[in-house]
Amino acid sequence: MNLSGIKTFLRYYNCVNKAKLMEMMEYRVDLIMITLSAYGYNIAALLFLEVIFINIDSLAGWAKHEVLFFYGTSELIWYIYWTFFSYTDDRFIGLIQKGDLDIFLLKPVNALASIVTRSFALFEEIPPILLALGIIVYSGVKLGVVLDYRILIYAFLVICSVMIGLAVRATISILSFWFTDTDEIRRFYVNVNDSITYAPLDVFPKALQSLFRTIIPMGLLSYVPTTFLIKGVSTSMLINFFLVLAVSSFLMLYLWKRGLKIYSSASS
Amino acid sequence: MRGFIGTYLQVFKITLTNQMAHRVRFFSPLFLDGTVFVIGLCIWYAIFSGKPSIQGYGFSSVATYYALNMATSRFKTRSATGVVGDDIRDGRLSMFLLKPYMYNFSNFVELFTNMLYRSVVPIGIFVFLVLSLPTLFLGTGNLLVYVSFLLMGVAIGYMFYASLGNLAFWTANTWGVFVIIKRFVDILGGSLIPLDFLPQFAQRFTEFLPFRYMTYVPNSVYLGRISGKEAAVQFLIGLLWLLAMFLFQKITWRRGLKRYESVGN
Repeated sequence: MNLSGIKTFLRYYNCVNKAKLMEMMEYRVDLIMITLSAYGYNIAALLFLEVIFINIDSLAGWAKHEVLFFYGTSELIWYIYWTFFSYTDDRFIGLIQKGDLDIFLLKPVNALASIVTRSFALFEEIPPILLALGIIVYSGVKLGVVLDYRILIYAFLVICSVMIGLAVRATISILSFWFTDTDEIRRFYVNVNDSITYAPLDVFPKALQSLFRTIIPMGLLSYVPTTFLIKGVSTSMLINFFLVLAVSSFLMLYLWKRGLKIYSSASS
Repeated sequence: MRGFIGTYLQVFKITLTNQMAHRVRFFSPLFLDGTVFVIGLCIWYAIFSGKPSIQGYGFSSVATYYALNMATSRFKTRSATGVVGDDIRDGRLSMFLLKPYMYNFSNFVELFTNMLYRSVVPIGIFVFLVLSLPTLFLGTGNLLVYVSFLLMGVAIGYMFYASLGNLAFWTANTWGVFVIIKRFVDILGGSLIPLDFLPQFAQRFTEFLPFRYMTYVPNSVYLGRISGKEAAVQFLIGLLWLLAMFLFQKITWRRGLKRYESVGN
C-alpha cells in the first residue's frame, strides 16, 4: 500500500467506524451485555487465580502478583486485538468458503486491510481494556514497577503481541482457500491460548515451551512484555519473539496472495 | 410409542450422518482436547511442586479429575443456548414448530448424538491413559455410578442452557448473558477447578446450585470422595434439580412462545 492508498484506506476506515458507532447507539443493550460478559469472565478468572494462590506461594517461580501482571497483560493484548481486528478469522472463513470475498476485492481499498479491520469495536472493548489496565496497574504497584522509559518498550511489545495474534489467526483462516474445515485448527489455537492465559512459559516442560515459542506462538504473547518489565527477558527470547512476528506476518501476506489466485467467486 | 422412537431415531441418524461428513471433526479432539489436557496437567504439576497434597488431593487425584473432564469434554450442552437462541432470533423456530415433533427433545437428541460422536476420541484417550497408568482406574463400580451421575448432569445442563436460549424470546442478545454465566458455571460446577479448592463459604454456596452436578459430583463419585449413602443423597438431590430445571425450561418456553413473532413464509 502506498501513501495515497493509506489515505484512501483511512478515509474508508473512518466511514465504516462512523456507521458502526451509529449502529451501536441503536443497540445499547448489546453494549451493556458485552461489557458485563467481559467483566464476568475476568472476575471468574481472578477468582480462579485467588483460589490457586490461597494454596500455594508461587507458580514455577512466579509470585501471585507476577502471575496477575502476566494475566492482565494477556487480557490487554486480546482486548486490543478485539478492538481493531475482532471476528477477523470468522470473517475470512465465511467470506472464502461462501465465495463472498468479491465484496471486499471490488472496493478501491486494500482488501486484506479492510477485511481485518472491518469490525472496529473500541466502544465495546473500552470497559474490559480499563479492567485489564486496572489489573496491570494494581499488580505493577504491588511489584514496585517504576514508571520510566521501559513502560514505552513494554507498550511496544504489547502492540507486537497483538500483531502476532492477528497474523497467526488470520493465517489459519486464510488456509480456507485450500481446506474446507479450518475451523477446528482455529479452535485448537483459541483453546490452547485460553488454557495458557494464566500460565507463564516457565510452567511447562522444555518440549512444550519450544512448541509455544514456535508453531503455537501464543505462549510468547504475554510472556515477553511481562518478563521484560518485571523479571528481565533474555536476548534469545526477544529474537525469538521478533522472528515469530516476522514469519507469521510474512505467512499471512504470502498465503493471502497465493490464495487469491485460486479463489473462485460464488457470483456469476 | 414406536412412532415416537422412530422419529427421534431418525433425528439421531441424520445428525450422525451429518457429523460423519466432517472427518476432521472426529479426530480433532485428539489434538485439541489432548493438548488442553496436557497443558492443564503441566499447570497442576507446577502447582503441586513440593506439596504432596492440597485440600486432600494428591497430584494423581487431580490428574484423574482432569482426565475425566477431558474424556467428557464433549459432553457439554452449552451449545443448546446458541441453537435455541438462534432459531428464535432468526425466526427459524416457526419452521420447526410446524413439524410433527417436539422441538426441544429433538434438539436434545441432536446435541446428544453430536456429543457421542465427538466423544469417541477423548474417551479413547482416557482408555489409553487408564491402560498406561492403571492408578487412574478406580473400579467398575465407580465407573458405572459415575456414568449415571454424568448422564444426569448432561440432562441438567441441557435444561439449564436451553432455558438460557429461551431468553431470546425477550432479548436479542443472549450471547452476553451466556458468556457471563458459562464462566461462572465452569467455576461453580467444578470443571475449571475441583470445588474443594474454593473457600468454605464458596463451597457452601455451590451446594445451593445445580451446577455442581454437571462436573464436580460425578468426578467425586468416581474418585470415591462421595460414596455410599452420601452418593445416594446427592443423586436424589440431582434428580430434584433436574426436575426443577425441566419445569423452568418448560415455563420459559411456554411464556416465550406467547411473545414469539416471526415474519416471512
